[in-house]
Amino acid sequence: MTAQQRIDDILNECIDRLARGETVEACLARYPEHAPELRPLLLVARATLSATAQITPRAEFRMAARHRFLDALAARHAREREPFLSGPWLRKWGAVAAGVTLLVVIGSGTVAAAETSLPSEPLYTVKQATEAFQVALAPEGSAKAKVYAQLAARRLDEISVLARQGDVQSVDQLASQFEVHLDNATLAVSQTSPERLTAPESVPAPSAAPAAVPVTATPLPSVSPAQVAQPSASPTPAAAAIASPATPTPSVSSPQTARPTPSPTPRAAAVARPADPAATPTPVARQAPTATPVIRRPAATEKAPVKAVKPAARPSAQNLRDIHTILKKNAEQQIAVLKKSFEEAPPSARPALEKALEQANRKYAQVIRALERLEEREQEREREDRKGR
Amino acid sequence: MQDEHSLVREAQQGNAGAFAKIYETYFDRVYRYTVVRVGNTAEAEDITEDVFLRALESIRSFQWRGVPFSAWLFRIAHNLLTDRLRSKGRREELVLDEEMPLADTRQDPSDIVETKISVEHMLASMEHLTDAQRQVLALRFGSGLSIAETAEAMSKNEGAIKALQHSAVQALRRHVARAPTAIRKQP
Repeated sequence: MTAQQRIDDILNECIDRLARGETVEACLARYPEHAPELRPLLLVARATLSATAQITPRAEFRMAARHRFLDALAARHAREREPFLSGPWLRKWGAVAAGVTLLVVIGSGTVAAAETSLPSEPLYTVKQATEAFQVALAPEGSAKAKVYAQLAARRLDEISVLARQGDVQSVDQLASQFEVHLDNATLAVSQTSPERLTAPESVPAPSAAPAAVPVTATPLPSVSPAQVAQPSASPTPAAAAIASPATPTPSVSSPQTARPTPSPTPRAAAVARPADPAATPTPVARQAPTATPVIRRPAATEKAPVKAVKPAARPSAQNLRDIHTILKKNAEQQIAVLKKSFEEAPPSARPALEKALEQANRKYAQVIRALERLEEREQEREREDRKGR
Repeated sequence: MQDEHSLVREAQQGNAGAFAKIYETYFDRVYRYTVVRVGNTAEAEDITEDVFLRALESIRSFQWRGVPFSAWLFRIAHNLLTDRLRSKGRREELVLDEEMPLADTRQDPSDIVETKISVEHMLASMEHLTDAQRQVLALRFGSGLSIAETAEAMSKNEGAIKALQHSAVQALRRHVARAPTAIRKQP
């Protein structure tokens, strides 16, 4: 070994030791004969280690990138299973198989541990994936609405914790996701008429961003051409990386295009249209899938090309009452928890939390009103059915 | 906690949860690597996302055969980064720096004792390094790869990487020392 190689080795060993937390002086003490030469190098090495440790991704980027990655992951599942599956029934069972695989292979311990994770934590990805599968696996109608109601409640739980930690950015994003979940819950039970139109049900694996993409959310008959996602000729770099060249990729929706417009259909307008279009969560919309070559689902709240399919079983008045009860209970409990969090949150987080509280109040009230109307209508139908018999 | 070998195998078999865990394990490390390489966060964000999408696309082609997964992943990062820099018409600067004989650091002013370099100063100083020097520092200091993993990622032997690391730290030190605000004397 040459003298040069010897000093290369020593420096390398000392860099490893510094990375493990050893001091420069301790390293030098191991090689006193090389100390004069090593000292300046180790000092700069230690400073570089400290500086690089400070490089962390922005929280906003981290969340958005995670959503896009999970979408790509879901798209890959879809693509891989597509050749073996054809027809809506087989595709549906593909979703079941994918979900079961996820839950079995990840392991119940990890899934359980992920349940309480927060957006800043590694296991949150597992939580999101698990939630996406829960949505995909839930039967259409009231069962799916219950899952969405549960997810909405989770987002508020997370807001309570994060607000106390002063994480303002996450509070904003989670509040938007909360609203989307509740919109999806309403959509799940409101798409009940025989003339129902829906997006293609090729959803072997769900979108991993359930907050942004209602996996089974059904576009309304009032979809205007402007709302239908237009394939973009220039997909985002992220999308381009996985998009099949033969399949145009929907572009990431802009807040403008993602915003729903008032529907001329009274039923839809009464039930499914968010009361405040401006409240459509734009950060979530930007996190929508960027490449779903098989699913061909457009981004976020944009409406998919539609086709008529056989309607799902209509939720009974009792089903609607159950969801109504769940939402009312959740609303009462969670608004109380948020108010308590407000007292405990640092002053810097209070404006965001106040806004989230207001959003939660408004959205719960809106959805509960919509369910009441649906319930009344369903009761009336059931009465008419009995009379008819 | 599952070991990396089984996680990667499961991800190759299409297990979304396994890939999600790999993603979380490496996300920050890949991001730091790209920031150190490109010197700005906007480009680093784009490249970091692309690295994982590319990895997702090609994970089935990954074979262990003595190559650590980290090395494979950072090769993807390096290739994407190189393509990007090339397409932007950047060229390596100060190529000679890598070939320069190692300076005798004992001749440096003995009273310069740095305690802290800001991220901005570090990145600015790295601008003067060769691409290979910057890569070795990004892998070793930014991503925390071992010397063996770094050697695999850069397709060189460990001895060559150690020598490159030595020259990189020396070069960095020279350029850090030139920025007076980057180095503070210890009280």
